[in-house]
Amino acid sequence: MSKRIYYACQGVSYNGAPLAGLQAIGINTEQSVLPIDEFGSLDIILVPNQPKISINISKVLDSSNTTIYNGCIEDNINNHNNYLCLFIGSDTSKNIYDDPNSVISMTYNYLTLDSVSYTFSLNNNFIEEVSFIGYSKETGSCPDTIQSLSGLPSGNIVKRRQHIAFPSGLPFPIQSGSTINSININANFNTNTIEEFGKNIIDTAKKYRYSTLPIQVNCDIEVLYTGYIDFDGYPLDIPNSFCDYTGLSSTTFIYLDLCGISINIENCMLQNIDYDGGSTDGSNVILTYRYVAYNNLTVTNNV
Amino acid sequence: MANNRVFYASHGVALAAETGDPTATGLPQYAQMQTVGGAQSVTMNTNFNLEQVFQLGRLELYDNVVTDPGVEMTVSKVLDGRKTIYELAVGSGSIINNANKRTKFAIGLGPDTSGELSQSSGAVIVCDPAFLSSVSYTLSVDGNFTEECNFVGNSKKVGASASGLVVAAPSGGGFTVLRRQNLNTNLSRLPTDVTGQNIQSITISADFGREQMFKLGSQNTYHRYVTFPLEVSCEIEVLATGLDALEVDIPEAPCTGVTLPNQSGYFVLCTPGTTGGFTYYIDLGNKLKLTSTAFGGGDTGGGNATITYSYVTYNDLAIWTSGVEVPAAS
Repeated sequence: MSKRIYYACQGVSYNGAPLAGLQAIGINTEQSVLPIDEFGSLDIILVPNQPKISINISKVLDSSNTTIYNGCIEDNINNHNNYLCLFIGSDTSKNIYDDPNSVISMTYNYLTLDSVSYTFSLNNNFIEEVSFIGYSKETGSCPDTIQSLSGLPSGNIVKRRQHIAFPSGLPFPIQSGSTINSININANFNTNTIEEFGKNIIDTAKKYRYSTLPIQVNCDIEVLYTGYIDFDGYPLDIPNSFCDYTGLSSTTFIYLDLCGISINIENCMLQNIDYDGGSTDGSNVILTYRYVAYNNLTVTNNV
Repeated sequence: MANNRVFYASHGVALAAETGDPTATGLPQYAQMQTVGGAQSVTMNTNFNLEQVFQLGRLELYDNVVTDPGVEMTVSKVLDGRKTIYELAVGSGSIINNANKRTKFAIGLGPDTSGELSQSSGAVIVCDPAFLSSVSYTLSVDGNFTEECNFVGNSKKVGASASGLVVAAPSGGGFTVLRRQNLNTNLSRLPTDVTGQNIQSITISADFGREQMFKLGSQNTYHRYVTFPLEVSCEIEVLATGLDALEVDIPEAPCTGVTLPNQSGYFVLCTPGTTGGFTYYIDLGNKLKLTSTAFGGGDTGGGNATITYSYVTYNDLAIWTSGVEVPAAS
């Protein structure tokens, strides 16, 4: 038996394919516990309630040009057939599949994507983080064998700051040619289940789940401010007459080309501009533009 | 014939300061390349700054990413009446005015059988742009007055010598290496703590930081800025003729505290025949503040006791030269 489990001892296959570039996985199995009081006794009756599994995954984006979240929001929130197998192997093997006899596995079925986040920064690898919720897990029983992880690539080119372009320009009002320091995109799908009488766990085969609409998609873009005049385009003059509106009213879109992966957020609107930094510690002024869209996030693999 | 070695006569350093607007887009414009006269040493380190990425399921490396490759160069020279490295790199004046200026840095190599580095031989390494990242001046009673500058950059090209990029340093005629007699104490303004004392050494240094600035869409650095506030330090060592007379007496009364006066740091270095004017002018402004004094020495080894006064100021350093430059041959 291993003395410890570290990164090389774990392997994950997702929907039949080994997950490459995986950096971290976290699994939380919980059940809520309801305390019930009753007359005549100080003792509490504890009632276990709905168990749930939450899985968080972080992976680098690389030259395989594949992401876990793929397609538009409808494609992902209505797909409850995802499954994930976590393999745990020996801490003395170079590859997890080298010693199949020492490998154990856990299978998580009928998973639903619950949130997605992308982080693109100047000094780190490009990262995708997703979370799943599920209600079914079993020891072993993975449709994929441990040998399937031999398909893990021995190396890919990890995407960093040079692997991004803005073919359609920058969203208004960010000026063309601005220095972008970081971009963060996130969406939380708030997946809920529909309970039914007769069972404490929904029948996963029937997959009664839904996302709480509308799904808000946030995109924060940090820009280094260099002193140009119109840095926010956000006039806030008092309206001249009744029924007039002042402020930013136009929608825009955000399109990112990650050299093989594209991210598209349409019909988004600037919600917030934050001017910060440039304090006496010598830091630079940074403008943070927050855009918000609803039900709109498309990630395309292998562009 | 290939060199068997590289020694001082077979390599040289040349610099060119940016002349155009540093904020303009496009390639920087430079003055004519000028050889650093009186150069004593040059070093160049190239780093590729790797970052390792692994993945779950495999022990082996997933990717070994080259993050921010960079080059660091150090040049030292004796002060001899010719332009300082600082002035050749960014021009004379204050560091604030020159903070964004870029430098073209070249090291040229010649044959080890020639007594002079000429423009027509050997390889050239060019770093364009390079950024001045630190400057240091050492004036001591023993030894020559020296200047040492560090540069950082993210570009390095190697090629054959071309267009007279590096020329041989001029002969020593007409230039005098500065030593202890060349500190003009009459024109210089020194902190009052050391006035009238036997000064043994003065060290002035500033580290510019030079943080790299990146942008999404490009691996390259598009600018390296000076990290303000910029600390400028000055250490003056004097021969102790008594004890360190600086008192520390913290008052008890409210609304009172220990205060130290602001001092001036203004160093004029001259060459024979120019006693009325100056050759080098290093100005630390008038807000130098004493940060520490250190009394030591005078032990049974027979050495003399010394007191070292350490001063600091911020964002205040200006350097001028009235020396003669040596232009590169066209």
